[in-house]
Amino acid sequence: MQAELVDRARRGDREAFSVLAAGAVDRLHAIARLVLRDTELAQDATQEALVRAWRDLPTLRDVDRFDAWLYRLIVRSCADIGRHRRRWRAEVTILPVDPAEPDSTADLADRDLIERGLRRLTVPQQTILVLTFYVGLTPTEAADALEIPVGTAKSRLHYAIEALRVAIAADERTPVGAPREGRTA
Amino acid sequence: MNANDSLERGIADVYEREAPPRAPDWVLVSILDAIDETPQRRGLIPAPWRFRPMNTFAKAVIAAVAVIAIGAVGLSVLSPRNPSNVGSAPSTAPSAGPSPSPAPSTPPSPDPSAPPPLSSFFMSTMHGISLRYPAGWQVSKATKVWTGGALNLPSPDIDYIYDPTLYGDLFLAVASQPLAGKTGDTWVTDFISDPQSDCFTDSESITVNGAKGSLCGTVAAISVADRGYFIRLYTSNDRSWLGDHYDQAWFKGLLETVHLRPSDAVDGPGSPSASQSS
Repeated sequence: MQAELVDRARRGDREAFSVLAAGAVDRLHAIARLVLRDTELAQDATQEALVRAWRDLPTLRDVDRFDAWLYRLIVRSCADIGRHRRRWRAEVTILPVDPAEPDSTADLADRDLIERGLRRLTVPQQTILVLTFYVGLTPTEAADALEIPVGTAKSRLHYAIEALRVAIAADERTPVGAPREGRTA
Repeated sequence: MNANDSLERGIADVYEREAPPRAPDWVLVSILDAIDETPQRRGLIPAPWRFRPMNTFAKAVIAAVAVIAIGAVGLSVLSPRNPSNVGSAPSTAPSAGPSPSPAPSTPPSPDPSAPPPLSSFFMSTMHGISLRYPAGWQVSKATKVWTGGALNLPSPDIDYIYDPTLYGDLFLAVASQPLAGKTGDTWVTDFISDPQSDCFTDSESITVNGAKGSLCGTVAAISVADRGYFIRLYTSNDRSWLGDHYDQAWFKGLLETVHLRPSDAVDGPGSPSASQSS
Protein backbone atom coordinates (compact mmCIF):
# COMPACT_ATOMS: atom_id res chain seq x y z
CA MET A 1 0.00 0.00 0.00
CA GLN A 2 2.73 2.44 0.97
CA ALA A 3 4.78 1.65 -2.12
CA GLU A 4 1.76 2.37 -4.29
CA LEU A 5 1.22 5.70 -2.52
CA VAL A 6 4.86 6.62 -2.95
CA ASP A 7 4.72 5.75 -6.61
CA ARG A 8 1.62 7.87 -7.10
CA ALA A 9 3.10 10.74 -5.11
CA ARG A 10 6.32 10.81 -7.06
CA ARG A 11 4.25 11.12 -10.23
CA GLY A 12 2.69 14.26 -8.84
CA ASP A 13 -0.34 12.96 -6.93
CA ARG A 14 -0.77 15.40 -4.04
CA GLU A 15 -3.50 13.36 -2.40
CA ALA A 16 -1.23 10.33 -2.20
CA PHE A 17 1.49 12.46 -0.71
CA SER A 18 -0.98 13.85 1.84
CA VAL A 19 -1.59 10.33 3.11
CA LEU A 20 2.13 9.67 3.35
CA ALA A 21 2.75 12.98 5.09
CA ALA A 22 -0.05 12.35 7.59
CA GLY A 23 1.51 9.02 8.44
CA ALA A 24 5.01 10.38 8.87
CA VAL A 25 4.59 13.83 10.37
CA ASP A 26 4.30 12.80 14.01
CA ARG A 27 7.30 10.53 13.91
CA LEU A 28 9.48 13.04 12.08
CA HIS A 29 8.41 15.77 14.45
CA ALA A 30 9.33 13.63 17.45
CA ILE A 31 12.75 12.91 15.99
CA ALA A 32 13.37 16.58 15.26
CA ARG A 33 12.22 17.57 18.74
CA LEU A 34 14.61 15.14 20.37
CA VAL A 35 17.52 16.12 18.16
CA LEU A 36 17.03 19.89 18.31
CA ARG A 37 15.51 19.97 21.80
CA ASP A 38 13.34 22.88 20.76
CA THR A 39 9.67 22.67 19.84
CA GLU A 40 9.52 25.49 17.29
CA LEU A 41 12.71 24.48 15.54
CA ALA A 42 11.39 20.92 15.40
CA GLN A 43 8.22 22.13 13.70
CA ASP A 44 10.31 24.01 11.14
CA ALA A 45 12.52 21.00 10.52
CA THR A 46 9.50 18.74 10.05
CA GLN A 47 7.91 21.10 7.58
CA GLU A 48 11.10 21.52 5.64
CA ALA A 49 11.72 17.80 5.48
CA LEU A 50 8.26 16.97 4.18
CA VAL A 51 8.12 19.84 1.69
CA ARG A 52 11.51 18.72 0.40
CA ALA A 53 10.21 15.19 0.26
CA TRP A 54 7.40 16.31 -2.00
CA ARG A 55 9.71 18.40 -4.15
CA ASP A 56 12.39 15.74 -4.55
CA LEU A 57 10.20 12.64 -4.59
CA PRO A 58 10.50 12.15 -8.37
CA THR A 59 14.21 11.54 -7.84
CA LEU A 60 13.62 8.65 -5.43
CA ARG A 61 14.67 5.53 -7.30
CA ASP A 62 13.31 2.83 -5.02
CA VAL A 63 9.83 3.34 -3.56
CA ASP A 64 10.57 0.76 -0.87
CA ARG A 65 13.23 3.05 0.52
CA PHE A 66 10.81 5.87 1.22
CA ASP A 67 11.06 5.54 5.02
CA ALA A 68 14.84 5.50 5.01
CA TRP A 69 14.82 8.46 2.66
CA LEU A 70 12.56 10.43 5.00
CA TYR A 71 15.04 9.81 7.79
CA ARG A 72 17.72 11.32 5.60
CA LEU A 73 15.61 14.37 4.96
CA ILE A 74 14.76 14.99 8.60
CA VAL A 75 18.40 14.53 9.55
CA ARG A 76 19.42 17.05 6.90
CA SER A 77 16.81 19.55 8.04
CA CYS A 78 17.86 19.20 11.66
CA ALA A 79 21.50 19.64 10.68
CA ASP A 80 20.71 22.75 8.65
CA ILE A 81 18.63 24.30 11.37
CA GLY A 82 20.92 23.22 14.16
CA ARG A 83 23.94 24.69 12.43
CA HIS A 84 22.78 28.23 12.91
CA ARG A 85 20.62 28.12 15.95
CA ARG A 86 21.51 30.20 18.95
CA ARG A 87 20.95 27.82 21.74
CA TRP A 88 22.63 26.42 24.76
CA ARG A 89 25.69 24.71 23.45
CA ALA A 90 27.97 22.25 25.04
CA GLU A 91 31.68 22.69 25.29
CA VAL A 92 32.25 19.07 26.11
CA THR A 93 35.71 17.67 25.92
CA ILE A 94 36.09 13.97 25.48
CA LEU A 95 38.15 12.76 28.40
CA PRO A 96 39.70 9.33 28.64
CA VAL A 97 37.78 7.11 31.00
CA ASP A 98 39.93 5.17 33.41
CA PRO A 99 38.51 1.65 33.44
CA ALA A 100 39.87 1.11 36.94
CA GLU A 101 37.92 4.02 38.29
CA PRO A 102 34.38 3.30 39.43
CA ASP A 103 31.97 4.49 36.77
CA SER A 104 29.79 7.20 38.19
CA THR A 105 27.11 6.38 35.62
CA ALA A 106 26.86 2.78 36.68
CA ASP A 107 23.62 3.44 38.43
CA LEU A 108 21.57 5.85 36.39
CA ALA A 109 18.33 5.91 38.27
CA ASP A 110 18.25 9.66 37.98
CA ARG A 111 17.04 10.25 34.43
CA ASP A 112 17.31 13.97 34.97
CA LEU A 113 21.06 13.63 34.85
CA ILE A 114 20.81 12.04 31.43
CA GLU A 115 18.35 14.63 30.25
CA ARG A 116 20.66 17.44 31.32
CA GLY A 117 23.61 15.66 29.80
CA LEU A 118 21.82 15.29 26.48
CA ARG A 119 21.28 19.04 26.34
CA ARG A 120 25.04 19.52 26.27
CA LEU A 121 25.63 17.41 23.19
CA THR A 122 26.03 18.71 19.68
CA VAL A 123 23.37 18.17 17.02
CA PRO A 124 25.38 15.41 15.27
CA GLN A 125 25.79 13.64 18.60
CA GLN A 126 22.11 14.04 19.40
CA THR A 127 21.20 12.75 15.98
CA ILE A 128 23.10 9.49 16.19
CA LEU A 129 21.72 8.85 19.68
CA VAL A 130 18.13 9.54 18.62
CA LEU A 131 18.40 7.35 15.53
CA THR A 132 19.86 4.55 17.60
CA PHE A 133 17.99 4.67 20.88
CA TYR A 134 14.67 6.24 19.87
CA VAL A 135 14.08 5.18 16.29
CA GLY A 136 15.87 1.91 16.82
CA LEU A 137 18.00 1.93 13.69
CA THR A 138 20.93 -0.40 13.30
CA PRO A 139 24.37 1.16 12.72
CA THR A 140 24.01 0.41 9.03
CA GLU A 141 20.60 2.05 8.84
CA ALA A 142 21.77 5.03 10.89
CA ALA A 143 24.77 5.43 8.60
CA ASP A 144 22.41 5.47 5.65
CA ALA A 145 20.25 8.16 7.25
CA LEU A 146 23.31 10.20 8.09
CA GLU A 147 24.88 9.60 4.69
CA ILE A 148 28.16 8.54 6.24
CA PRO A 149 30.12 5.27 6.24
CA VAL A 150 29.06 2.61 8.73
CA GLY A 151 32.39 2.80 10.53
CA THR A 152 31.98 6.53 10.98
CA ALA A 153 28.48 6.03 12.34
CA LYS A 154 29.73 3.50 14.89
CA SER A 155 32.53 5.82 15.90
CA ARG A 156 30.17 8.77 16.20
CA LEU A 157 27.85 6.74 18.38
CA HIS A 158 30.73 5.70 20.61
CA TYR A 159 31.92 9.26 21.07
CA ALA A 160 28.40 10.56 21.60
CA ILE A 161 27.91 8.13 24.45
CA GLU A 162 31.30 9.04 25.89
CA ALA A 163 30.47 12.74 25.61
CA LEU A 164 27.22 12.12 27.43
CA ARG A 165 29.02 10.16 30.10
CA VAL A 166 31.50 13.01 30.63
CA ALA A 167 28.68 15.58 30.68
CA ILE A 168 26.84 13.58 33.32
CA ALA A 169 29.96 13.18 35.40
CA ALA A 170 30.65 16.91 35.19
CA ASP A 171 27.06 17.66 36.12
CA GLU A 172 27.26 15.45 39.16
CA ARG A 173 30.33 17.34 40.34
CA THR A 174 28.69 20.76 39.89
CA PRO A 175 27.68 22.27 43.24
CA VAL A 176 24.01 22.97 43.69
CA GLY A 177 23.19 26.49 42.54
CA ALA A 178 26.20 26.81 40.28
CA PRO A 179 25.59 27.44 36.60
CA ARG A 180 25.53 24.19 34.67
CA GLU A 181 25.81 25.50 31.17
CA GLY A 182 27.32 28.45 29.38
CA ARG A 183 25.56 30.49 26.77
CA THR A 184 27.76 30.91 23.75
CA ALA A 185 25.42 32.58 21.28
CA MET B 1 23.86 -5.30 33.37
CA ASN B 2 26.96 -3.14 32.84
CA ALA B 3 27.26 0.63 32.87
CA ASN B 4 26.88 0.88 29.11
CA ASP B 5 23.64 -1.07 29.16
CA SER B 6 22.35 1.08 31.99
CA LEU B 7 23.24 4.32 30.27
CA GLU B 8 21.80 3.22 26.94
CA ARG B 9 18.59 2.11 28.55
CA GLY B 10 18.45 5.43 30.37
CA ILE B 11 18.84 7.32 27.10
CA ALA B 12 16.03 5.32 25.52
CA ASP B 13 13.81 5.96 28.55
CA VAL B 14 14.47 9.67 28.44
CA TYR B 15 13.66 9.78 24.73
CA GLU B 16 10.44 7.85 25.20
CA ARG B 17 9.41 10.23 27.93
CA GLU B 18 10.37 13.40 26.07
CA ALA B 19 9.17 12.57 22.57
CA PRO B 20 5.99 14.47 21.70
CA PRO B 21 3.34 11.94 20.66
CA ARG B 22 1.91 14.22 17.99
CA ALA B 23 2.86 17.19 15.92
CA PRO B 24 0.45 20.12 16.16
CA ASP B 25 -2.32 19.82 13.57
CA TRP B 26 -1.31 23.02 11.85
CA VAL B 27 2.07 21.56 10.95
CA LEU B 28 0.48 19.03 8.58
CA VAL B 29 -1.99 21.57 7.22
CA SER B 30 0.85 23.98 6.59
CA ILE B 31 2.82 21.29 4.77
CA LEU B 32 -0.14 20.51 2.54
CA ASP B 33 -0.52 24.21 1.84
CA ALA B 34 3.13 24.43 0.95
CA ILE B 35 3.13 21.52 -1.47
CA ASP B 36 0.29 23.13 -3.39
CA GLU B 37 2.71 25.91 -4.14
CA THR B 38 5.74 23.71 -4.64
CA PRO B 39 6.52 22.09 -7.98
CA GLN B 40 8.27 18.77 -8.01
CA ARG B 41 11.72 18.46 -9.39
CA ARG B 42 12.12 16.70 -12.67
CA GLY B 43 13.11 13.18 -11.88
CA LEU B 44 13.27 9.68 -13.14
CA ILE B 45 9.55 9.26 -13.58
CA PRO B 46 7.76 11.13 -16.33
CA ALA B 47 4.53 12.62 -15.05
CA PRO B 48 1.73 11.41 -17.32
CA TRP B 49 -0.81 13.75 -15.81
CA ARG B 50 -1.07 16.67 -13.50
CA PHE B 51 -3.24 16.97 -10.45
CA ARG B 52 -5.03 20.13 -9.63
CA PRO B 53 -4.14 21.89 -6.39
CA MET B 54 -6.49 21.08 -3.54
CA ASN B 55 -8.47 23.62 -1.66
CA THR B 56 -8.20 23.88 2.11
CA PHE B 57 -11.37 21.92 2.76
CA ALA B 58 -10.14 19.08 0.60
CA LYS B 59 -6.87 19.05 2.49
CA ALA B 60 -8.65 18.79 5.81
CA VAL B 61 -10.82 15.96 4.53
CA ILE B 62 -7.89 14.13 3.02
CA ALA B 63 -5.86 14.54 6.17
CA ALA B 64 -8.75 13.14 8.20
CA VAL B 65 -9.26 10.23 5.84
CA ALA B 66 -5.55 9.58 5.81
CA VAL B 67 -5.37 9.42 9.56
CA ILE B 68 -8.34 7.10 9.81
CA ALA B 69 -7.09 4.88 7.02
CA ILE B 70 -3.69 4.64 8.52
CA GLY B 71 -5.10 3.73 11.88
CA ALA B 72 -7.42 1.18 10.33
CA VAL B 73 -4.86 -0.70 8.36
CA GLY B 74 -2.13 -0.30 10.92
CA LEU B 75 0.18 1.38 8.52
CA SER B 76 3.00 2.19 10.87
CA VAL B 77 5.06 4.46 8.73
CA LEU B 78 8.38 5.11 10.43
CA SER B 79 7.19 3.70 13.68
CA PRO B 80 9.30 0.77 14.78
CA ARG B 81 8.28 1.07 18.40
CA ASN B 82 5.07 3.00 18.51
CA PRO B 83 2.72 2.01 15.74
CA SER B 84 -0.05 4.38 16.71
CA ASN B 85 1.81 7.56 16.02
CA VAL B 86 -0.89 9.24 14.03
CA GLY B 87 -3.54 11.25 15.74
CA SER B 88 -6.82 12.69 14.74
CA ALA B 89 -7.45 14.88 11.78
CA PRO B 90 -6.35 18.46 11.73
CA SER B 91 -9.04 20.63 13.18
CA THR B 92 -7.51 24.05 12.97
CA ALA B 93 -6.87 24.63 9.32
CA PRO B 94 -5.90 28.19 8.62
CA SER B 95 -8.56 30.19 6.94
CA ALA B 96 -8.33 30.05 3.22
CA GLY B 97 -9.29 33.64 2.74
CA PRO B 98 -10.88 35.01 -0.38
CA SER B 99 -9.18 34.91 -3.73
CA PRO B 100 -6.82 37.77 -4.35
CA SER B 101 -8.67 40.80 -5.56
CA PRO B 102 -7.06 43.89 -6.99
CA ALA B 103 -9.38 46.14 -5.07
CA PRO B 104 -10.77 45.18 -1.69
CA SER B 105 -14.51 45.63 -1.56
CA THR B 106 -14.61 46.34 2.14
CA PRO B 107 -13.36 49.57 3.64
CA PRO B 108 -10.29 49.39 5.85
CA SER B 109 -10.99 48.64 9.42
CA PRO B 110 -9.99 51.45 11.74
CA ASP B 111 -9.25 49.06 14.54
CA PRO B 112 -7.62 45.96 13.14
CA SER B 113 -6.87 43.01 15.32
CA ALA B 114 -3.35 42.07 16.22
CA PRO B 115 -1.29 40.26 13.58
CA PRO B 116 -2.08 36.56 13.27
CA PRO B 117 0.49 34.14 14.64
CA LEU B 118 3.39 33.16 12.41
CA SER B 119 2.10 29.65 12.02
CA SER B 120 2.15 29.17 8.26
CA PHE B 121 5.25 27.93 6.53
CA PHE B 122 6.66 28.87 3.17
CA MET B 123 9.64 27.44 1.39
CA SER B 124 10.73 29.17 -1.78
CA THR B 125 12.14 26.74 -4.26
CA MET B 126 12.94 29.60 -6.59
CA HIS B 127 14.94 31.67 -4.14
CA GLY B 128 16.22 29.15 -1.60
CA ILE B 129 14.69 30.44 1.59
CA SER B 130 12.03 29.37 4.07
CA LEU B 131 10.16 31.36 6.67
CA ARG B 132 7.00 31.48 8.68
CA TYR B 133 4.26 33.92 7.84
CA PRO B 134 0.95 34.95 9.40
CA ALA B 135 -1.89 32.46 9.38
CA GLY B 136 -4.45 33.23 6.71
CA TRP B 137 -2.08 35.04 4.38
CA GLN B 138 -1.62 33.78 0.85
CA VAL B 139 1.40 33.14 -1.29
CA SER B 140 2.12 34.14 -4.84
CA LYS B 141 5.23 32.24 -5.79
CA ALA B 142 7.95 33.54 -8.03
CA THR B 143 8.11 31.86 -11.40
CA LYS B 144 11.27 33.52 -12.68
CA VAL B 145 14.70 34.13 -11.24
CA TRP B 146 15.23 37.59 -9.85
CA THR B 147 17.90 39.56 -11.64
CA GLY B 148 17.52 42.70 -9.60
CA GLY B 149 15.97 45.92 -10.61
CA ALA B 150 12.48 47.10 -9.93
CA LEU B 151 10.63 45.72 -6.96
CA ASN B 152 7.19 46.52 -8.30
CA LEU B 153 4.64 44.03 -7.09
CA PRO B 154 3.23 41.67 -7.91
CA SER B 155 6.22 40.59 -9.90
CA PRO B 156 6.87 37.12 -11.33
CA ASP B 157 10.43 37.10 -10.03
CA ILE B 158 9.55 37.75 -6.40
CA ASP B 159 7.83 35.57 -3.83
CA TYR B 160 4.95 37.55 -2.54
CA ILE B 161 3.09 36.72 0.69
CA TYR B 162 0.12 38.89 1.41
CA ASP B 163 -2.94 39.44 3.50
CA PRO B 164 -5.76 38.66 1.04
CA THR B 165 -8.04 41.15 2.74
CA LEU B 166 -5.53 43.95 2.27
CA TYR B 167 -4.18 43.04 -1.12
CA GLY B 168 -1.37 45.37 -2.10
CA ASP B 169 -1.38 47.19 1.21
CA LEU B 170 0.24 44.59 3.42
CA PHE B 171 2.69 42.02 2.14
CA LEU B 172 6.05 40.39 2.41
CA ALA B 173 8.34 40.24 -0.59
CA VAL B 174 11.25 37.81 -0.82
CA ALA B 175 13.86 37.22 -3.48
CA SER B 176 17.50 36.33 -3.92
CA GLN B 177 20.16 36.32 -6.58
CA PRO B 178 23.80 35.28 -6.99
CA LEU B 179 26.34 37.84 -5.83
CA ALA B 180 27.78 37.83 -9.33
CA GLY B 181 31.31 38.70 -8.32
CA LYS B 182 30.43 41.12 -5.54
CA THR B 183 31.36 40.53 -1.95
CA GLY B 184 28.44 39.89 0.37
CA ASP B 185 28.95 43.22 2.13
CA THR B 186 29.02 45.09 -1.15
CA TRP B 187 25.86 43.40 -2.37
CA VAL B 188 24.04 44.29 0.83
CA THR B 189 25.27 47.88 0.78
CA ASP B 190 24.35 48.30 -2.87
CA PHE B 191 20.89 46.91 -2.29
CA ILE B 192 20.14 49.05 0.73
CA SER B 193 21.43 52.21 -0.95
CA ASP B 194 19.39 51.60 -4.10
CA PRO B 195 16.46 54.06 -4.10
CA GLN B 196 14.19 51.26 -5.25
CA SER B 197 14.70 49.58 -1.89
CA ASP B 198 12.71 52.37 -0.26
CA CYS B 199 15.29 52.69 2.46
CA PHE B 200 15.05 56.22 3.74
CA THR B 201 16.24 55.74 7.30
CA ASP B 202 19.46 54.64 8.94
CA SER B 203 20.21 50.99 8.62
CA GLU B 204 21.50 48.65 11.28
CA SER B 205 23.48 45.45 11.16
CA ILE B 206 21.52 42.25 11.62
CA THR B 207 22.13 38.55 11.64
CA VAL B 208 19.55 36.32 10.00
CA ASN B 209 19.96 32.58 10.31
CA GLY B 210 23.64 33.13 11.04
CA ALA B 211 24.19 35.34 8.00
CA LYS B 212 25.11 39.01 8.24
CA GLY B 213 23.10 41.72 6.64
CA SER B 214 21.53 45.09 7.03
CA LEU B 215 18.10 46.17 8.21
CA CYS B 216 16.57 49.44 7.13
CA GLY B 217 13.08 50.00 8.45
CA THR B 218 11.34 46.83 7.38
CA VAL B 219 13.67 45.98 4.52
CA ALA B 220 16.37 43.40 5.17
CA ALA B 221 19.28 42.54 2.90
CA ILE B 222 21.43 39.56 3.76
CA SER B 223 24.23 37.68 2.08
CA VAL B 224 25.26 34.10 2.62
CA ALA B 225 27.67 32.00 0.63
CA ASP B 226 27.51 33.40 -2.88
CA ARG B 227 23.96 34.70 -2.68
CA GLY B 228 22.20 37.89 -1.69
CA TYR B 229 18.68 37.97 -0.26
CA PHE B 230 16.16 40.64 0.41
CA ILE B 231 13.08 40.36 2.58
CA ARG B 232 10.70 43.23 2.75
CA LEU B 233 7.61 43.98 4.78
CA TYR B 234 5.43 46.54 3.07
CA THR B 235 2.67 48.44 4.80
CA SER B 236 0.75 51.02 2.86
CA ASN B 237 0.75 54.59 4.09
CA ASP B 238 -2.88 54.68 3.04
CA ARG B 239 -3.63 52.48 6.00
CA SER B 240 -1.33 54.03 8.51
CA TRP B 241 -2.63 51.88 11.33
CA LEU B 242 -0.96 48.88 9.70
CA GLY B 243 2.42 50.24 10.68
CA ASP B 244 1.39 50.25 14.32
CA HIS B 245 0.97 46.49 14.30
CA TYR B 246 3.37 45.43 11.59
CA ASP B 247 6.35 47.41 12.76
CA GLN B 248 10.06 46.71 12.79
CA ALA B 249 9.81 44.70 16.01
CA TRP B 250 7.25 42.42 14.36
CA PHE B 251 9.45 42.16 11.30
CA LYS B 252 12.45 41.20 13.39
CA GLY B 253 10.37 38.42 14.91
CA LEU B 254 9.57 37.17 11.44
CA LEU B 255 13.25 37.30 10.47
CA GLU B 256 13.99 34.92 13.32
CA THR B 257 11.98 32.26 11.49
CA VAL B 258 14.00 32.61 8.29
CA HIS B 259 16.23 29.82 7.06
CA LEU B 260 18.50 30.61 4.16
CA ARG B 261 19.10 27.79 1.69
CA PRO B 262 21.30 29.15 -1.08
CA SER B 263 21.93 25.68 -2.51
CA ASP B 264 18.18 25.20 -2.97
CA ALA B 265 17.73 28.26 -5.18
CA VAL B 266 16.93 27.55 -8.79
CA ASP B 267 20.09 29.23 -9.98
CA GLY B 268 22.09 28.11 -6.94
CA PRO B 269 24.85 25.51 -6.87
CA GLY B 270 22.38 22.76 -5.95
CA SER B 271 19.89 23.59 -8.65
CA PRO B 272 16.92 21.35 -9.41
CA SER B 273 17.60 18.13 -11.19
CA ALA B 274 21.15 18.21 -9.91
CA SER B 275 20.36 16.09 -6.88
CA GLN B 276 19.75 12.43 -7.12
CA SER B 277 18.26 10.33 -4.38
CA SER B 278 18.64 6.74 -3.44
